Amino acid sequence: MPVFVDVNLGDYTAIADRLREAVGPKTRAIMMAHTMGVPFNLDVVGELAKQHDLWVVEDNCDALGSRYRGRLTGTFGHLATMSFYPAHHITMGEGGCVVTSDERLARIARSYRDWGRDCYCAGGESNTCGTRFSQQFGTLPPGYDHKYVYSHVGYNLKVTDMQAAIGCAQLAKVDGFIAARRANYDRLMTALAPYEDRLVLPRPTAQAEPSWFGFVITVRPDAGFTRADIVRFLEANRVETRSLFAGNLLRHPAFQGIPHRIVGDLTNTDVVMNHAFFVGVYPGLDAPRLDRMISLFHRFMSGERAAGGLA
Amino acid sequence: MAQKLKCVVEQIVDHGERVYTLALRPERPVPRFRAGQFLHLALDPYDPTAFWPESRVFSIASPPAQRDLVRITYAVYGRFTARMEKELVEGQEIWIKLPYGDFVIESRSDVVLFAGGTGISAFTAFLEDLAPETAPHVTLAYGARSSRLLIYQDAVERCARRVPSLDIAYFVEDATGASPAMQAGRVSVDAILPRLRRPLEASYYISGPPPMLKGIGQDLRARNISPEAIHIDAWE
Repeated sequence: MPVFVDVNLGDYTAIADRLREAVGPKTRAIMMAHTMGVPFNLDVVGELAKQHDLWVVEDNCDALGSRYRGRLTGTFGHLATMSFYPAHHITMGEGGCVVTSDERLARIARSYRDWGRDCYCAGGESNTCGTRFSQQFGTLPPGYDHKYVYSHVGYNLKVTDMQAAIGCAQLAKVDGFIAARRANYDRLMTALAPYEDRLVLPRPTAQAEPSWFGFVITVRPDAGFTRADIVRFLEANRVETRSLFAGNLLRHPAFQGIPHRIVGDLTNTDVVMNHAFFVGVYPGLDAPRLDRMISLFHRFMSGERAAGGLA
Repeated sequence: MAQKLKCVVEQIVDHGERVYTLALRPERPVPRFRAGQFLHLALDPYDPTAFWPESRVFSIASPPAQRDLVRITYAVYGRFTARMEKELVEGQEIWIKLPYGDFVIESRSDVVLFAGGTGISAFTAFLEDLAPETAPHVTLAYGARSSRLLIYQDAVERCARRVPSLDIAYFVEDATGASPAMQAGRVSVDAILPRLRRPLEASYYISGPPPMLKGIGQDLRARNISPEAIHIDAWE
């Protein structure tokens, strides 16, 4: 059963004390995202995992290159996921990967990728297990070809060679991409800092060095304008914005009525859903584009509401 | 993840009766592996851009901590191992890929190992890896055609001196020249069960020639050992 905990405003990661309260006798795993590139509190998660013998799965899709106490996120948990969708730090057009340092988990992950096959031969190879025709599984006939034994239900999640080639080329550029994202974050942060009385600006958690996915802004309740106002203004001036993904998952139709538990309340999560949005920091944002985005923020914060004028 | 590595055959030890041990020096340290896992060895040249050539599997006899030198032991019993006997020379380059397999001993209960001939190589890494303070109670039944072919006898006795909870029973089919401590005949369940503290709670691991795997497995089940407690290192 999933357990939901509220997040901090500003870093949008789970509140550490709520995590402690969330762990119960039936808890088996902690699975969370380093939202928008900001590492969640890995000290607390590590401590809880050790204390309660829990699996840790890091959703590192937003955070390729982020570090916590100097160590890359995605290397703390038993497993971590990465996304290579175009909006992410590197892309293969689509796809992603799972990383682990545990060979057994790697084999399980590969099996889920390959339709749930029990066989673990690499492509083009046969009889890696040395027992291809001499095992017996379930009620299959003894010696049934191990290549076609399915030990669980899986998926076809393989990337193509073409995607892999793009991914390799992107990897060669990843340091530059991460540096550009950080520089763009710094630029936006400096420019928008004077508006912190009306906007909650994104801040890293302690010990964290984010590889920023985006620049999250939450409109404060007494800002004098709404998220819709500022988002409409930016979009009308061709600056794209996004909501912080799904917001409060439990308010979506798909999640209505699912068995779940909430620790405390989800007040901040609702604030995020109702008042937060983000703008991009992607590496292709060069100085003229950032200048224009910042100029639009200045104009909006100075009271301008009508679209147009700069396009 | 399994890796393919070029190795130099550093040493070939001829134990007699067509049983050999190879010491292989990989071009870089082999990936981390667990005691009981195996490798594939290919004799034909391998082009990393092409498919892996014909290969056979062999237990990694050297301990996981030793990643710069890999040992395997084999007996000639088929076409491929006959080629190994004929073609391999010291200094030769060959390819291996590793690690594979789930024949890994992770039991917290008492452990009983049945090893026949070169099947002992599935257990040597485990035995060398045992820590005296944390080792479970391990009983090793080690058999071979003759005392000369108990090729890991010295190694397992070194382990026994280091790990008090390791108990060893030797079996030799040809008892000529065998020491009094060695029992004549094949490895036998009946000879081992009385040595165990709690036979029904122990975990059993069997590695050796196919008739032995079948026979020991049947004998254990006949003595009410749960099939889940019986682990067999079976290869084609």
